[in-house]
This record gives sequence, C-alpha cells and structure tokens, in this order.
Amino acid sequence: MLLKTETYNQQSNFVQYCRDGKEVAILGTNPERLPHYRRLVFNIIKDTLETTFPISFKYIDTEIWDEMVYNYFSSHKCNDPQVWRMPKEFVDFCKAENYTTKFNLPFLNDLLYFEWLEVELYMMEDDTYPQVNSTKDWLKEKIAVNPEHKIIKLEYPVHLEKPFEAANKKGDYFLLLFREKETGKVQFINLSVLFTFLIENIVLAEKTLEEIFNDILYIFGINDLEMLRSEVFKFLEDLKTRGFVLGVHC
Amino acid sequence: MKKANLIKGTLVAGALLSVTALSATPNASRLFDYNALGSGAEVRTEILNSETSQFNNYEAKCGEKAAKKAKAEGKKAEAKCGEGKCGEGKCGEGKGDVKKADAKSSSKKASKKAAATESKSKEMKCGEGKCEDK
Repeated sequence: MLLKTETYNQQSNFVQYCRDGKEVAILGTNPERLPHYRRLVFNIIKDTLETTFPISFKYIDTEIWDEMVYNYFSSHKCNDPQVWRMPKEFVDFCKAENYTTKFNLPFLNDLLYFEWLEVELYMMEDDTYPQVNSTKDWLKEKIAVNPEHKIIKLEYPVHLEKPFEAANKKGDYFLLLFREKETGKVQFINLSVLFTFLIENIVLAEKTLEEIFNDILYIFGINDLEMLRSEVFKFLEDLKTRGFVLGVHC
Repeated sequence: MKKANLIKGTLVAGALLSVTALSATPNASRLFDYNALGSGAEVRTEILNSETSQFNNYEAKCGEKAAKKAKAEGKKAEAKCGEGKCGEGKCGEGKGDVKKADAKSSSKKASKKAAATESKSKEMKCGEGKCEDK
C-alpha cells in the first residue's frame, strides 16, 4: 500500500534523524523524547558492530571508531533487513570510503573482513556434505573436504598479531576457516603458500592427489617427492582429525 | 604447461608469480608450515589478551591520555545516555504524569487499573524511585 506523501516524508525525516541526529521538525513529536529513539536505534548498531569486531573496537582509537560508526550509520543505506548481516555492509563501507588511508590504518580492511568471516561462516546455511569413503588410498583419489569453509588471503597477519604490530608485516598470508559439523564452531588455520595451493586444488576436485603433487613439484621447484608426500600426508591427517578433510570422494 | 597456467585463478597466484615471492613473502618461506589457531574465540582471546588489560591501560595513561579517553567516553556517553534508567521522558515527568497519561488513554475501569499497574512498574524502572525522593 502506498503511503501518503506527507506520511512518507514524516517517516523519512524520522529515520534520517535516527541516523544522523540532526534536528528535524516532525509533526506530533515531543523534541525532548525524540533523542531516545535515536539512542535506542544507534545503540543497536553500535553494539552489533562492537560485538562483531571486538579486535577492531579494542585497538582502533575510540574517536576514530566512533567516527567510522557514525559515518556509516548516518550515510549508508543498509540493504539487508537482517541485523546480523549489517556488519558486512560496514566492512564494504569502510573499504569504499578508503578508511585505511584516511585514518592511517593499513590493516583495517583485512581486520574487519577477518572478523566478519567468522560470523558469516558461523551463520551460513548448512551445505551438503559429499559422500565419502575414508578407507581408500588418498593418492589415487580425489579428496573430499568440509564444504563449509573459506580460504582467504590477507595482506596483514591480523589473525596472528595485534593489529598495529601486524601493520608492519605486509605480505601474503593465507587462512583457512571452516565450520565444525558437530559444534558449529569456526576453526582457523594459518597456511603456508604451498598448503594453500594444495587445499585450493583439493577443493576444486579436478585432480587426484598424485596429480596435485606433480604440479607442486613443478611450481615450487621441489625435488624430493618422498618428503613432499610425507609432509602433505601428515598435514591431511591432521586436517582429518580436525574435521576438515572428510576422506575421498565415492 | 607453464607455471602461470597452473596457478591461474588461485589465491597463491600473486604470491607465486612474483620472482622473489618465496623469499620475500614471510608466510611462504616455510612451505610446509601451518598453524591451527583454534576456534574464533581462541583466536580472539589470543589477540585481545596479548597485552595488559584495558583497566591497566587507563592507569598507565593517566594524565592527558586519560583525559582524552575520558573525552572519548563522553562521546560514547551520548549514545549510552543515562543508560536508559533515568531519562527525562520517564523520570522527569514524575509518577503523577505517567499515571495521568495512562489514565487518559483509557476510559474503562479495568484499563485504568492496568494503566496504574503499568505506571507503577514504570516507576520502579525509572531511577528506582529516586526521583520521587527528590
């Protein structure tokens, strides 16, 4: 049902006031009570962001954090009606506004993204687990993994250190996140570039492990196949106990 | 087959295409290293607790930094205004006003009773009766 223009304007003014706190004339409202609406709505936004990004909130200067949150809430029109998804838009907003440069926080995009991913993975819809056989020889088969995962690349080791220490260690960092089937907890594993390549190829499920080994030998210039096998098997066995590697595809 | 084709589209492409990647990339220097960091809570705890508590921070920064912090807290206080306990809307108007307003809104006896009960409970929330004492 379409609203009357006047009603629409009243509602829009009220919403805009809740977002930026700038005084507006809204018919039938008590100016003394109006701030409480903004306070209540803004507190939900603040609280959600502080809960989603506890590391960012702790280490970023309070004034800068408040400015980021204020700017976001006052100028960004959230698209998603679900409050728990709102922080993702905050991540995108900060990136678009180039806050890394503006506030001299080079790690900011990585940190926000890293913190957000835990929520995203934790809340994601259940994915279908593949049919697996855990007894077959891994080498000649395609390995099956937990489908509820993500592999990301970070420029700063925000998953390993305090943000301002990580800021001095720009490089290539790879992180595997997956959701445990039983507990729903999101697990984090910091990966080397070789293991990242391995996992990515396993996930693609286009090649057997043996074929991936051949690629690794060539790409990384490794001469010792036995050592490669030994290290990779140890790694995969560990991932199996952790619930990421499931077995081999049937 | 060229290396570039094998790593095309992978996350590691950027790291590997650079000639000096393996030596320049801190995380790639040990090809078989990995580190199970644990659950999200464990990762957070590790990073958040890797320095002294905030309480200690405030003490250490006592002086101008503390003042700055206080200022920042003041900014925060705008949002947390009164912690929702003793806002002007509820407390300032007093018990009588609330009762009046509620009574006005209803003409039936039962409704009045309910309104009175509600206003009582509001009074309890609002400053826990402190306003009345004043």
